[in-house]
Amino acid sequence: MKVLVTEYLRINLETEQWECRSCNHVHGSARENYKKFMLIYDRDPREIHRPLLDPARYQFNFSPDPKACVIYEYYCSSCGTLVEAEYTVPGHEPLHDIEFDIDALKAQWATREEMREGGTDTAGVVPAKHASCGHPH
Amino acid sequence: MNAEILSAAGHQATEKAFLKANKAFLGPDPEIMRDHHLAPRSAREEKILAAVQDHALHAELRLQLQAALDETFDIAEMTVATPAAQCGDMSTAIFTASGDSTLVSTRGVAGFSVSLHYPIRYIRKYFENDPTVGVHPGDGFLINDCRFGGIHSPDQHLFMPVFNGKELIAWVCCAMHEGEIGAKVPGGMGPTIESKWDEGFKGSPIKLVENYRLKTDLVTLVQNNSREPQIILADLKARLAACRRIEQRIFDALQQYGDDAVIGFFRANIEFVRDETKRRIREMPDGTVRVRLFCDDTMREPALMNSSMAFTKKNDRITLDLRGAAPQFANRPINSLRQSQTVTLLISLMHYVWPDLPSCQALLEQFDIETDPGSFVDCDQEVPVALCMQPMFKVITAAELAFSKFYYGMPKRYAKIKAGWFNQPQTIIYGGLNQHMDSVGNMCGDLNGMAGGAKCDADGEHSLAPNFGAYTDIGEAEHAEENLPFIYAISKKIWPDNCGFGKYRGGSAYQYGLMRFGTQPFGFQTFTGGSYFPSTQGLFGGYACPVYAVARIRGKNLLDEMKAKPELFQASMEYLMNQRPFEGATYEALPMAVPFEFYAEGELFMMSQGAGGGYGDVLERDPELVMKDLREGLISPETARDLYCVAYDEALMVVDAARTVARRQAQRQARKARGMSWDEFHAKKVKPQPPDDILYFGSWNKSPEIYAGPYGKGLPGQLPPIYMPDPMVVENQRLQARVAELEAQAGLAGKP
Ligand SMILES: [Zn+2]
Repeated sequence: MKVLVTEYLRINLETEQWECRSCNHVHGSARENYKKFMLIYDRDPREIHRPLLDPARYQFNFSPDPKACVIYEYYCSSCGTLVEAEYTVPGHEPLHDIEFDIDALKAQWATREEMREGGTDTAGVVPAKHASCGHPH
Repeated sequence: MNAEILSAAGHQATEKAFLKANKAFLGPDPEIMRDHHLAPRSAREEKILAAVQDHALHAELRLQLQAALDETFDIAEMTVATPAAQCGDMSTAIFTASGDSTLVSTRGVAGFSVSLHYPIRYIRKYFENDPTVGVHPGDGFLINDCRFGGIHSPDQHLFMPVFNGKELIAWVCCAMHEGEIGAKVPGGMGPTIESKWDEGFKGSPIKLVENYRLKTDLVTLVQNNSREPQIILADLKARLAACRRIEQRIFDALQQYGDDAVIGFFRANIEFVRDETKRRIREMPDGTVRVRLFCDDTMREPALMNSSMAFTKKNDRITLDLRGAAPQFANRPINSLRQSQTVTLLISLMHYVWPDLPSCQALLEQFDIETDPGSFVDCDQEVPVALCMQPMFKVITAAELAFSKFYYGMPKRYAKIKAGWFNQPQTIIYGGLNQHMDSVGNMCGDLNGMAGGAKCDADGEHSLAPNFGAYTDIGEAEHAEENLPFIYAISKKIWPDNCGFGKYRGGSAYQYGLMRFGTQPFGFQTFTGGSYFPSTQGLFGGYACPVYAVARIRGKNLLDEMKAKPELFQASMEYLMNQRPFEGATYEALPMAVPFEFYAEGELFMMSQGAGGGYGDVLERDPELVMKDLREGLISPETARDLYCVAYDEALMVVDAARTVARRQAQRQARKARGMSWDEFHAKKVKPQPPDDILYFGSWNKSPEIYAGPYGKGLPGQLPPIYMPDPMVVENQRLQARVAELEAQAGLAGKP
């Protein structure tokens, strides 16, 4: 059973490993921060968000202040996919953004079917068929 | 001996009872304000709900009363005079007798009304049995001080109790952003509000309506505390009319269905929502999702204030942990109350997580909130909170991102996974005398033009709606120009690279500029952050929005200049600021919190609305969509070429597919070459304390201590009050030091 976690990551519940959804690379233990298995680069935010106003004339030019902001980019070490872009303060430790309880996840997915795609809403546009009690009639 | 003790104890009890009955000031009640949970069933509700319930009847009542709320919303929206409410910044709602919201109007800003159990509980606790106040049919209470409930004090809400005979069975409300409340600066919001006493009219719940009629003396009091007295009156009438109509619709329902059905439905609807969220939360993965966000401006100086949050889900409960946030500021307006965080969490749940459920307070029943009291997300009653939207809007974004991570791989999702909506109330506040010589002070509807975050399968929408309300408007430029002494010299113009980049891009947002027209005293201000550090965030590799600035051209009457040479003007902030076509004018770019000033005729004040975050890796964006963005002016050629790595014929705008694949493959290799391992990155880049060239507030790297800028660091609750120096004094000191230095160099030191 493989559980989708993000656009680029899934957890293999049998092996308890993070895997890349782009290249199937096995990153490492799903009980750890997936970022430990990524390549990390501290990107100057001005490279992504270019100035609109002339930076030679204006300090406030629509481009972030590199003293206050840096982008930690996390790449899959195998295919180079940008898995996460974390905006933080220069020098701050990386954020442990996703920390799921793997044992609880296993119990939850024991009776569920594996999914191939995530993301879109599945509740649909059909009005809920139940009234105030929450049970179908 | 025993008798003495007893008598002493008896004395103490008498003293306690006396003090309780004779409070010198009935201020905001922390017991009420710190409790976001539902009231228990009343005896009446218990009795009704013990019997078998007709759920089909409840569904019918829900539709009927929801329609009544939407009807009254329309009535109020069409009759109000304040610009924000005309743009839909309002809401109507029904509450149980205990004060829990059960239904809220579909349109507008549900967040205004949904958490107003606070003032209702207050009225019931302190006023209902007070013979000088009481609660009777036909009464109406007004409230605006957010220390008693609500989002912030420029919002004014009118409540009415609904009686069935002698029995209080419900409350109804019409809530809206009124705007002008006689604060230090127009519009009730502004960077220079530095004390609670600068915030203007502080309406604790007051009975402004008796026997369905506005009380002239109290209405005059409220008007006398506003720069817009006529608008206050018009809007009070609109609110009263809306409340009366909802009351009438409840009377109709009572007659049609009977009181047990209606009262039972009010409570059953709440319990259905509570139980359904319980079921949905149980389906989510157990664990913690963390979001790191920063406020970057105290409104008077740049500073990084930690607004990071952790959402921990266990079984059927979720804890939102806001500990480690920046401490409160004694003289800056960006503090917020604990209840504010629960309101914005609720807003995010209603709009982005479970939009299919009825909007009501019960959506929050399974949530617990943890804060550091005395932090800027749980401030005390005495510090200013006029710009509480700064920290509290971060909760909206944090919940959007956290629930996207919890929900992405779930078998059932109730909304689409998406990146952060833009989250700054970016608008121009104006004030002064208008062309009809009326005193005015309010905000442009452009505040609602925030862009949507990119979705997992589609781009975000441009300048669609504010992050706090799904169904609102941005107003008409022409309508504003008719009433106010300015023209929209630049109106709703999309500019390149103002969108979060990614596989799917965030929505773009427009720039606009107001040019003063007329010579009466009239001015502008802005009051947001996000000038140094991007305010909202992308998702799964998508980039954030950019940062923003205010640009202004002063010292020349541009209208006169344009009369002589119309070709000098182009409706583009970047053209005007970079080309500087008007000789002799001053051109300035400022951070997004610009204190109120008067502007002379022909001076131009420009800014931009904000973009939504991007979704996914830029290298996965369809090259044809990149071309479309380029053609539509949403991105620059540099972004198409260098960031999206698309190769194309610049003249024909045709993608070279093979070269694009090669370029993207090369970029993936370049990433692998420049990326560091976890250990190397920690050794080279991670630091034990915040950088010393910025003011930093809050915890750092999970530190238990809270950094407090110039005041060092300390454990939560042990920090001194943070007083920031007046920026003018700081600048004056800098200039004096510079003068002394230059005088010393010139040999003039010590000479008069
Ligand atoms: Zn990969």
